Amino acid sequence: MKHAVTQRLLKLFVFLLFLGHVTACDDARVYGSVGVSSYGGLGGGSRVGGSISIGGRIR
Amino acid sequence: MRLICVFALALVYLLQGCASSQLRLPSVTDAPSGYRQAGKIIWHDLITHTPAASKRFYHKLFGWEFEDLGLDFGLGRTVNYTLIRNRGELIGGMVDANLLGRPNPEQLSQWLVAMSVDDIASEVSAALSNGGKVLTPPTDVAERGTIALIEDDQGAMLALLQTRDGDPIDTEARTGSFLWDEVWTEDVERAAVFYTGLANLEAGIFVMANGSGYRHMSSAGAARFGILATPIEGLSPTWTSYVRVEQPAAILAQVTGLGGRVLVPLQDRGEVERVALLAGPSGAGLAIQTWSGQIDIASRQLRGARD
Repeated sequence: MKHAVTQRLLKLFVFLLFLGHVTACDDARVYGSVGVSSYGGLGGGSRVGGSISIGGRIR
Repeated sequence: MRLICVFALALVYLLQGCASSQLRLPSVTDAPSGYRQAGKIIWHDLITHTPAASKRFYHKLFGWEFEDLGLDFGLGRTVNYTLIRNRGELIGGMVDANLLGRPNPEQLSQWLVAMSVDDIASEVSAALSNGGKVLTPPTDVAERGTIALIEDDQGAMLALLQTRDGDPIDTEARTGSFLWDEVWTEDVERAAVFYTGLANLEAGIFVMANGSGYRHMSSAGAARFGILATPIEGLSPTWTSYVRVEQPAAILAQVTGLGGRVLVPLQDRGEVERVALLAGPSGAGLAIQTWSGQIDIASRQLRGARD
């Protein structure tokens, strides 16, 4: 009987370790609230356009 | 009985782990300066749902190296964070969007800039007062400091970071490192007002040789980032970062073959520089730019926004 309980607890322990492995709750707390990417709205076209003027560093 | 107690303690420890665990991130530089430069963009994180493809893409394109942070707390849990180095220099991080517990992780793929602040609590309050939104409240991330995610009043997302040991020292960007950042927004002047309320930033205008103006923000006498009316139809307000390159045409020639897209082909920036916009395999937009440092000869700072 005691052996069976020990076995069950051991299985539970291993299962929780597995959960701990696959759950990245700490990083999700920081980065999990990022908003949807603006670039995602551009679709899968290969190019936005050649006449568009972007910026860049000037000094 | 003793065995049961051990298991019970282990169970409590594991269950508390998530509630109390902390994302432990190293400093943004291997050589912290010991002081902060409020208003400076000091870090870039790539949120990507295609981490393996992104690593390959940026390694082939810029030679970047990736360093997974590995295991945390000895519990077998891997930290969802990868450091990015350019020829040994720490330049950014990468987060696997698939592990953030959000639906449709492909929609999260983007570059996220982090702005240095001296007092993160008061800067978050200032952002809120000026119409911004807080996505992640100030959160301790160990050696890195305290981070918060916010949106400006037009929806462009950025991180605020109060470093623990100081910001990177100002140096000229190496080839393959981040050279510049811009907010692409709907209303440039409104954005200038919002960012003037953050981190002691001041607004100014550079006048290009062709007479056009370029709005930028500076702090402690140094230009920190630009503000541009969103040049692409359908693109909601966002930050866009520029990586310094030497041979942009050769880089763009590789983009498609590596799983990316050229969004805006090579074009002139001022009289001597060249810029282009690309998207990595995950769709995150990133600009490239040559930099000779000569372009400022043809430009001059006109005035501050408060004039």
